[in-house]
Amino acid sequence: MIDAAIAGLIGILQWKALLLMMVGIVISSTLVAMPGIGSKTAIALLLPIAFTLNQFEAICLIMSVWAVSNTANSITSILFSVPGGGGSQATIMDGYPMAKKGEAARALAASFTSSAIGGIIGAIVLLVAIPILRPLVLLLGPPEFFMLVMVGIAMVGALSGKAPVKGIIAGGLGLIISMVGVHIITGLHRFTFDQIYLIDGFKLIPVTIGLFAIPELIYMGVKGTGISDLPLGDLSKGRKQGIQDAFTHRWLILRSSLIGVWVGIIPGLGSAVADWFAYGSAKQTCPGARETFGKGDVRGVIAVDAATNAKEGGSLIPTLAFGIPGSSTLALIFGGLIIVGITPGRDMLTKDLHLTFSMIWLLIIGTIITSILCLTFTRQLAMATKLRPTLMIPVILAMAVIGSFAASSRFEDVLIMFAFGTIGYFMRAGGWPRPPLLLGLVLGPIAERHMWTSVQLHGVDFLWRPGVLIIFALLVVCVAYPMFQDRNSKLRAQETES
Amino acid sequence: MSLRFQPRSLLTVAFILLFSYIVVESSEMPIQAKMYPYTIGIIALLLLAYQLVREILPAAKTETDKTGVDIDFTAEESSKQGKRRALELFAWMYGFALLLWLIGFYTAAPLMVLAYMLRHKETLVVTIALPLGTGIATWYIFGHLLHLPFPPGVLLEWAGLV
Repeated sequence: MIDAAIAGLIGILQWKALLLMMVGIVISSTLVAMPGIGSKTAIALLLPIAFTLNQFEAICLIMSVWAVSNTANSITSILFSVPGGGGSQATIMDGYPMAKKGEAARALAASFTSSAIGGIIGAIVLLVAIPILRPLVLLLGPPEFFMLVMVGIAMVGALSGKAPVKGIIAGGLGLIISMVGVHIITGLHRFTFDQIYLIDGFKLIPVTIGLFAIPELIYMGVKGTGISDLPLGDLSKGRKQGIQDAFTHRWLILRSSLIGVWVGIIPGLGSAVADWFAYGSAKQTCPGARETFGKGDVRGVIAVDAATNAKEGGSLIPTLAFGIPGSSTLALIFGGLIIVGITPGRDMLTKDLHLTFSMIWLLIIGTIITSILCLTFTRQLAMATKLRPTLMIPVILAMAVIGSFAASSRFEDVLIMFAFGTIGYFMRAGGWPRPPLLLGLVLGPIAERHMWTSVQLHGVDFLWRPGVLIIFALLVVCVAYPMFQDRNSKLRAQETES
Repeated sequence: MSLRFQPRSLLTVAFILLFSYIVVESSEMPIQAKMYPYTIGIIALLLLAYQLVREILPAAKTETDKTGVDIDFTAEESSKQGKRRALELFAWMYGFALLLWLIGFYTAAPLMVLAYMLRHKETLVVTIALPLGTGIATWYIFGHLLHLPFPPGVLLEWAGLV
């Protein structure tokens, strides 16, 4: 394991890999300050470039965009009360009141420092999980892996938003889309409508760019303005105090980070859940928090940012060990890794352990660099909020088109990208979550392979294996519990009103 | 009890048709190829039927109030002006696709950016710099460094310019 750890570190410390990591960090930190452009869109646009790189370089480019996206999120939350992403909504609760009191620099410094520490804790938990998970993963066979894939898709579908049934159906839609093309076992052309282009199936990159970047571009165009035109004020006074605050409340950071890791491990629960869980926990456990939280208490900022960054380490556990990405962004990374020859799952804990370690090192080094970068260039990053959508839309559109074409150098990919852009827009309009669709598309072929192997080995009885039943029970509990809780809270609210 | 059919249910109906096609089409395939789409298709159809009933029943509320991980469709987007702007952007996108096919990537990408700048009355510096930057990036990074074989465009081919 030590050899793998050293090999992983050396791999990402090569000058080109390190440079690509810096590129990813800068892109990620800048993009989150812009309206509507998230890390998913950035990764989708960078994937065609990643294909030309070696494994370590590709990991550095793709994963750094994702790993650090929660750090710079806080800038817009604290300065303008506009969440830079799903994981920074709770940062507003105390960050923005602090900014209004003239403590913006302190809040930002506390946020960036706790983000870095949270990220490191998340990576350490991932590291500790490896020796525990290795024997467990080796015990699982195709039936259990099939059920795990189904659990992953169903959980992301059910928990990804407002209508659980729609989410699960969207996951099914992704599975169906993944079936288009030549069936590997029989050689049959499935759902290809006699089109040569469809024989290879739908490519991940044009579908992803279409599904996510195009609706976001439309959102930007409709909104018509940047995040904020407010003056930035003094962003240096109080910075030292903010860093000290993070170290003073180190136990709060540890507690919140563990909450973040726990949320990360469960597929479907994203940063948007981690931040509120951590905020709620801090409010309940910190002395005097009930009176001061929401009025500009630095502990509210620290708890949230530690949790959202630690979540990333946790979410890599099911992704790398079981091949179940916990979110659509990880599904996209998952697809990208497969294309550069890395297969998430059992191999990541055995023969490709050095690659897993490179990701752990990337989480640690990346979060530290990002925090230093954000602390140093807060003003410059905040300036990105002033960029007008009219400048970004045509450039991103051009990049989306070129990125789609680069996937396989076929013009049809551009058309597919636009078609999925239209589908993505109408899915958003109809309240159909898009992340499960992407997850289904990425995991579809893996699920089919495991299903067929299971049937060949055990017949339909594979469904009655104890491992499969346990995972199915887990699925039912994980999907039903939040729905049950939601229903209960609504009933309670109705009773209170009446 | 009167039923209601909202425009957003059209997508549900479209998905029902799609999954029905999947089930029907896969029924004629050999067992190895049909088992998976058949299973997924039937489960999805059952869920879709449930979803459609929930959407058309007047008393049923289909969505919770919590925030999803996917970005919500905003009130701005739902407004008449929002829909008009979205339509305009779709026109830009499909127009761009047509332009790419006609005159190729090297010309179409900077031309689209230029047209967009002119449409939104950007400053002269931006109107010149952004299309120029896009053109150089397309040619140098993607064409020269990454060797992407961009198609030249049917019009240029027809005119014998490539």
